[in-house]
Amino acid sequence: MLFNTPEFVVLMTIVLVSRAVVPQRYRWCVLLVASFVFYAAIGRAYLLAVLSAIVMVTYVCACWMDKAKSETAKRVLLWTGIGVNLLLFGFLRYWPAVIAWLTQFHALESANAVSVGPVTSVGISFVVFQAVSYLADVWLQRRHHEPHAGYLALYLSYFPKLLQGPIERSSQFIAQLKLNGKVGYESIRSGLTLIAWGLCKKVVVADRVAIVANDVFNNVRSYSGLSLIAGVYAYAIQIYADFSGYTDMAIGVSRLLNISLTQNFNSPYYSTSMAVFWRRWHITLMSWLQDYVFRPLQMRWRRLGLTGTVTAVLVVFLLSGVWHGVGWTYVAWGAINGAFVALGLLWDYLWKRNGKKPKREEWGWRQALKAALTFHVVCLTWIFFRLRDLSDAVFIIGHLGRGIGPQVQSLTAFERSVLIGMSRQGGLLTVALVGAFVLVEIVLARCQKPLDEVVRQKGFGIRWLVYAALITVIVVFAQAKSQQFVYFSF
Amino acid sequence: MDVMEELTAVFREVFNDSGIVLSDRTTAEEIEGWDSLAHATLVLAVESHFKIRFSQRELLRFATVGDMRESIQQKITKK
Repeated sequence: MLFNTPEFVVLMTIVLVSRAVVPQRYRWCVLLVASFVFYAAIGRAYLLAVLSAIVMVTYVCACWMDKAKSETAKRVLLWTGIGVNLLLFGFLRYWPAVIAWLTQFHALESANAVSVGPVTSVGISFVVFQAVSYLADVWLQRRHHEPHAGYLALYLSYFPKLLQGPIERSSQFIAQLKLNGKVGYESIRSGLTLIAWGLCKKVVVADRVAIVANDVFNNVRSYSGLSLIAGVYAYAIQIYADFSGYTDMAIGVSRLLNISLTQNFNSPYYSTSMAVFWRRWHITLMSWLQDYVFRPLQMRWRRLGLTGTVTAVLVVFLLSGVWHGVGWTYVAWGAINGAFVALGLLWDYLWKRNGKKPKREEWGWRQALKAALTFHVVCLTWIFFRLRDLSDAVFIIGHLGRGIGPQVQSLTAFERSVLIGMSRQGGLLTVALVGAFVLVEIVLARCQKPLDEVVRQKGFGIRWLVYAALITVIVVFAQAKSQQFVYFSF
Repeated sequence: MDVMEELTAVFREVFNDSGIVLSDRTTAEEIEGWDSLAHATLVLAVESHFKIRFSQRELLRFATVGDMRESIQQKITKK
């Protein structure tokens, strides 16, 4: 059930009305039922079974961990809880790939081959991240176990963040769920603004540039030079507008329920290094990896100094790659990102060893150059992220600069190379809409605030002008053929 | 010297900043240069100075300088 469907509007209406009518101490029931209905709408009963199993195992392990007297018992319960979570997730995510590999290498007869229909694990990985963080926080005594199973179940399954995050931490989030204050005008205004902006990013920007990106990446060897460059830039815009658009909608939907979700993006394409990029892109995932993978590894390997830290960084990014999917392109994507971040660490280490302190530079031409360079490194990594075949990724990199001469000999040749799958009018419209999107993003980056907060501080006239503009742009320019959200696959 | 004074001396040496002043509520964001790389160096320096060893669990629980100081105090008292 997507946020921009009639079914979801019906569900939200029922939730908002029920929430207003039901006594405060039972509001969690309304949200929990809505979350399971939302998940059931995907149409895979096994997902509900897996979600329920995760909730039960996590609840029991945390409860017993708090009550256990010995450190050994606590540790056993911690790793049992984490192990069951990872097993369930791993089975759903990697089982189809294992079957495909076994079939390929053992040449099973078609009559005997295990047929694995389309299996999805959508949402489970985000549930598992949160379950593991909850278990770890109980073991680290950062919090006690949550005695109310309903609130724990709701924390893990809360529908606005169920399918693509953000990944929330249990202490702050469950406290919000329990507070669950009244929904007022400000929550509704803020929520609807974010939903509209997120929807705009998805159906006007992401789905539009996806026409170019999909054509190029699905037919890599038919293109070269400017076409490949256009495809790479288009995908960079698509994945950001798509994922951040969904996140904005999720935050907006949750704002309608007076519950705040964590921001997941902070103008990532203006980052001046890869390390900074990974503090601004998918913020809650990287924060999770830092707290529950990087720090434990770095502390365990602290006596190895820089080597220990760099190894921990590489492990984090390789894990991130493998989490996204099975395939050498994901491993390569993780490895390249890890290598760049590790190189940055080494640079900082050498800089400090020479007695120099890092300078905080104001935004100027030097920072702009660093940002442009970082953006292009990120685009390079997206090539591996988007493709399933490593050789296709190598082909793209090897042919980015080839055949450009003929492509710029005339305007017609240039348009034919770049406006893939689009007419001239369509292409100009896409460029104008992407340009407007980039301008809005620049304003938001300078304000360091999300759109709903920037708008809230303006006068009545400007606020309603923005609302009208958003609705008009969505209605007039929404791409007719909508693409699936990119991060539904992870 | 008490534990906090000795800890301050270690911080000043690791971060090469004689102006560092610590309190129980001090966090990494308030000390310039206290990034992930420096954190590992700092932990080793503290362990070496006080002749103690933190467990992984203890290190992951530290949120402020006060948490670290309390842990050091407990370990020194146990010796």
